Amino acid sequence: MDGLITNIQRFSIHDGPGIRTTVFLKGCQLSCMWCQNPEAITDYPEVLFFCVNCVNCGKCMEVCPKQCFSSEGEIKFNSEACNQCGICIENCPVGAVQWSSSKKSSDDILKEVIRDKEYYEVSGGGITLSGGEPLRQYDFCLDIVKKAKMLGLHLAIDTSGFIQTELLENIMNFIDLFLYDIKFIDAELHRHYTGKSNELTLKNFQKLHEANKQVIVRVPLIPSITDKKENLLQIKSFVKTYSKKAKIDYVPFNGLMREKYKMLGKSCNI
Amino acid sequence: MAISDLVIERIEDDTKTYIDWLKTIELDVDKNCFIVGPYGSPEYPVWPRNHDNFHYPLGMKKILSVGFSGIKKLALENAKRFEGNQREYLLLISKVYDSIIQTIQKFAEIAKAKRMNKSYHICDTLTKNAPRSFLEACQLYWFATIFRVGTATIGRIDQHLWPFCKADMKRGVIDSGHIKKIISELLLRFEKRGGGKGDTLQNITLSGKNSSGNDLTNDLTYAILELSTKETRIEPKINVRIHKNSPERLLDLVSELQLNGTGICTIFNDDAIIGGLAKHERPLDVSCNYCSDGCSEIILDGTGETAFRYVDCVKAIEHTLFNGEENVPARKKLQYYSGDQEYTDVKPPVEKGLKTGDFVKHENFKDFYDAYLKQLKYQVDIMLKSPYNSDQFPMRLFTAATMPNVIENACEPYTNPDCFHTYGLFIGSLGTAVNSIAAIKSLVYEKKLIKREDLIDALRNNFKDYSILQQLCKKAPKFGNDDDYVDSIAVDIAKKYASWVKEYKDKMGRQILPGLYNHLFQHTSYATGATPDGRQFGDPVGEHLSPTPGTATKGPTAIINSICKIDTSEQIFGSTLHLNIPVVSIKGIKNPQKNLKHINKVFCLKNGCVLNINILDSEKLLEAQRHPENFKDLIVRVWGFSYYFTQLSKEMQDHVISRATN
Repeated sequence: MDGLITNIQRFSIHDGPGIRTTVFLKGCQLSCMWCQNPEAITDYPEVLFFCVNCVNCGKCMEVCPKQCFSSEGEIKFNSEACNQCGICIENCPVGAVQWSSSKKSSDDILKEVIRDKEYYEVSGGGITLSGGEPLRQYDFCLDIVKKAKMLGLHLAIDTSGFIQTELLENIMNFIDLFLYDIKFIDAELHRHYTGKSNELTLKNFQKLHEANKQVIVRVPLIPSITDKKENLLQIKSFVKTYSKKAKIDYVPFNGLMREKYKMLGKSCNI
Repeated sequence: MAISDLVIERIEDDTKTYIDWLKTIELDVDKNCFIVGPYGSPEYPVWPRNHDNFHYPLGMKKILSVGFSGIKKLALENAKRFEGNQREYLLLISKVYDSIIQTIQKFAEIAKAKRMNKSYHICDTLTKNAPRSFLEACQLYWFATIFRVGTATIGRIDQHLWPFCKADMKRGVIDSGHIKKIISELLLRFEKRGGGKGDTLQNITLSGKNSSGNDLTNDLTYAILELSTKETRIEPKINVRIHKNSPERLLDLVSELQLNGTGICTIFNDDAIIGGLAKHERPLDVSCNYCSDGCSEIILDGTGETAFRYVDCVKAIEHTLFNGEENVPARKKLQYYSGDQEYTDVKPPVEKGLKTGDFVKHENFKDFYDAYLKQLKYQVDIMLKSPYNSDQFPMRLFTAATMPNVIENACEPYTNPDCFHTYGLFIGSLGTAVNSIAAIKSLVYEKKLIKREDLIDALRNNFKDYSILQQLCKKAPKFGNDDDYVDSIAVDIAKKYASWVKEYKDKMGRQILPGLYNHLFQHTSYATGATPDGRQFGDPVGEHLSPTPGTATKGPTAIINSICKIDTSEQIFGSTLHLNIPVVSIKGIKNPQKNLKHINKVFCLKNGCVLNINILDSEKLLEAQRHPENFKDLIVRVWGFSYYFTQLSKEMQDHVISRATN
């Protein structure tokens, strides 16, 4: 089965135990202001502009029907009018314009993942599915997860929990570890900053707990947004209600996504 | 086993100089130190490398087991059994050792005059006997080091000194606290002797397994590693032999040491290396006694000398494309590595290649690739057709007498059947050459995106006005990304290269050892013009077996997978991987050293030979370049040693920065 992915990152040591390979699946229902992987939000491939590779030949400006490219000495990209026609990508002689994601089969993905098998065995690592929201491409995700299990890989998933509970219950037995994002307990704040309600997230957390799944809660520390004392206390108390032992990881904010917004030809609001 | 007149003549000559030199050693006796004697050595009146290149350790086991007086006695006794030059050779040895004993006697007298009784007794003992305690053994170790003239490889120090340590512990004379104190004093001497110069060749090799497969890690191994994790020193360089039964505590200490990021600690994989040496006609017990040389090549501890030459596989690309000619925009002058060294001309080992035909007429990839292999083989043949050592420069007697059965056979080491020398040929920066071949294969012959004449013109112009073509070249597949398309070319070249080198023998009829190593990577960068991988003149090439800086984008696991496709145990003279891990990639991780430990383990599982991990912070390095005054203590790996970043030459600093972007 095929799906859209933005990246396969090897020697991934921040997403679960040991040395892992993280597969980033495209598409997410939320639109968190601080999203670290903005190229993985939409369900469709977008144009990415790699200015380091650009030789300023001007070919993209010539061919783009929507005038997304402009030049003030150096080529600049603005994707506001972009309709993903891909003509720029076809015409760039040096590959400085590329799709943000590619279609890959689960078999191909696992073929790459399995190349680091020895590292997983020695370190207690495995594969992590991330995104975007990996469960957004549910069937594709299920396909990868089943195949990974057949290969004996430890499987972690980095999820916002924004998924129908029945689907989650269907897939969770294949998953060894949930890296579970909780941003806010307050429903209004959650809706304001992510565009969606947190009802499902909180409910599904409960489900995972009932099913005795291994969960690490991850709280992104966004300055003056999620890192407020009250919010952090609420999250802690929510988590502890279900499990005294549940681990909470606080993930510090870094501004690395700003570069990605630039490549997407979009402005970054944080 | 005759010794030629020329050998005797040259040795007599050097012995005279050596004995005069011994007399000039400054007899300072440091009160605060267990170990008496100076840090450095007086300058030798003639260039000492003629008789000793310092890249191999002394026969320290022999020195420690019989002492200097024992060696003298052995030489005199054996001299009775021989005649002519052989007898003369042994008498000269006894003369050298007699002078050494007299020098120690003088130390003893000074110690006595200063009422340093302990030092006096130790020195006095060493003039008459073999050492009997750990302290005496360390003292003798230090004397032997000073009497070597130059700074040199140290070898398996924890194995050399352990019997003395063990016996003292058994007798209850010393405990682990004493061990640490004494060994720390000795290590400090090495550091001071190095004088903060970097490439001093002072390497120690720790741990390892014996021929029965048993691990030889001991309390001394741990003491040295623990001391090194506490205090970052640039000397001596630490090499640790590990294998599948290495104790976890050893592996933990190694990874902790690697985490300091200075690249001071290199690991050697016994499981691959011992078998690899056996494949090259070295007996098992000798192979089990291998150690690091002055950089990170593999040699045999205390059993012989080493020497190396190198061929430039990146230059061979240029020779192939330009029909045996060079394509260098200008001859560049470079400092060796440090900013205070003189500028010398950069030249490739072989300037003119073979006439393998016009590249433009190579209709298919095979034509080009065959021509490349011819160019490379041509360099190998040039380098190996003359022998490595000659009677003109026999080994200095102080050193020679410590080598296996030199005295018993009355036979100098170079022709002695019981000595095992390691003569090697290096081919370095293979990844950069392979990237060029892959670019040509893919872009010129398969996808036909670049015309052969355009490529030549672009290279002639160092890619000026060819930015599109250069970008295409840069984006072609690169070595170090676990991509079989490129890696398979590296595997093929390495295999062919090893088979060519193995055809050559040293004077004792033993194989010359191939290795994938290049300590002159900076020379390669500036001795070769633009290359088809998109590299411009002067842009970095990979050190040793490491990928070209900036081209391995999939991280450490992919790099190790790529290099481990090559059977490096065939490249047994040394195939070191400098694995550069950007500090950002391990930031925020709890106990990041455990990730390094896992990398070490997998590297060994995959049969890799030599690994040196660096943790590099590109922003810090750039800042250090701008404000050197604030970063005086910043230490980085150079080739077989680590050095203060701010004291490196500008070009070497740039190279290290380029590695940080991998």
